[in-house]
Amino acid sequence: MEQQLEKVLSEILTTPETVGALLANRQGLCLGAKGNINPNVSGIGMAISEQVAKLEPNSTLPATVCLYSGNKRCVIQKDGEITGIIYKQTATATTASTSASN
Amino acid sequence: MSDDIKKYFNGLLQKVSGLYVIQITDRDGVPLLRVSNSQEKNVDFALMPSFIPTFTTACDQASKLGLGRNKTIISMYSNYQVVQMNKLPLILTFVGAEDCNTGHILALEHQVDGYLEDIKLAVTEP
Amino acid sequence: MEYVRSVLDCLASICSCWHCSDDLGSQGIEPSERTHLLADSVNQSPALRRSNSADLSNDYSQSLPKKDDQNALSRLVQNTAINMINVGALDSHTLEHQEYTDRIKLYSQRLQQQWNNIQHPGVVQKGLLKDVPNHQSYLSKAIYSDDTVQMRIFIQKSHAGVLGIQIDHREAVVVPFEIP
Repeated sequence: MEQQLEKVLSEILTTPETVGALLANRQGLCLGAKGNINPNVSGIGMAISEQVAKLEPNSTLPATVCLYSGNKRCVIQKDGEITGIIYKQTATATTASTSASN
Repeated sequence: MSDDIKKYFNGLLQKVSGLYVIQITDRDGVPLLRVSNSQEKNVDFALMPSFIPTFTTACDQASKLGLGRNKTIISMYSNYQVVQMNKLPLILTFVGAEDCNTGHILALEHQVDGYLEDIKLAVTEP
Repeated sequence: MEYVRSVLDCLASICSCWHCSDDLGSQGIEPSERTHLLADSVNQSPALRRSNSADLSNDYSQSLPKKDDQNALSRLVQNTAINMINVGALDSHTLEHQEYTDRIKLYSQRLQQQWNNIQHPGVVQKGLLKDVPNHQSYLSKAIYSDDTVQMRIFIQKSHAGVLGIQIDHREAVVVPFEIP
């Protein structure tokens, strides 16, 4: 039924430093999650990317949000109906900050 | 002062775009707290005398399906979505636009849990 | 007489059987304000257990065990009613307007009282990054191009993956629910 999606999520997890990946639908509900990520963050992740998209309302490119915290970072992008969230973890510690880019 | 709690729930209401109403009632639909986005649509139907008791019954019946106790019912309508949570003796109801972020509403659940514990005391006999 | 007795024994054992499954699954008959307290206590009472055991046939001459049987039966009926999914029998339990307004008043009064005794979570700090020292360095954080590239690929593949979602049913379309 959703093997293709499961495969995509598994593939993403094989990328270096990636510890978790999640996909949300247009209602902010989790379509699939793999790795160390809580399915409940789907709604919040989508809400964050929607807020960020308001910074550049005329942009045709989907905004990518990166949240830094300690040695972890969270990358969010909402493109059309779906929102992707990736958790990454580096061995060396970096500190908290937020930034957004198009 | 219950103004504080109203302020808190108003803050929650602002956080989720497209959310019209958050209301806390007892299981018979008697309101304890209700915050709404006054500019938005008229969503008084959520306080109709039959609205909450119907949810309570549906929740009771859904608990018999052999899947465990029913916790949340999400209803999608053409113009609204209604998310109702069974927090007996309280019922937590969210009414939002059809395209409102359901996942975000569901994520509010654990944020309000602490407050609900306090509000529960008002419903249970001392 | 013996026949009736065996039937009742059977019913009582079904009853107690249900009771254990309730304890395990705690489905439906969770004690709530709608469960009848009296019927519950009867099932636990020694009197009923006595009528279950076979060696007390002389109890039948007395009126007490008869009552227990009645209770066991009513308990059975009640259990069935509780376990049955019956959407048609919606509670026609609507509050009188007077009670409704009374309760609103009562609740708001109690909330008002309680709120004075409750510790409120502290005031949230206003302003960004006030809780982090040396925030300049965090603000200048670069965005890894790897991240954006990875995300773009992820989203692209996901779009295809979401389109690929379809229902392929292998079992019977109508599945009986596991009703305890």
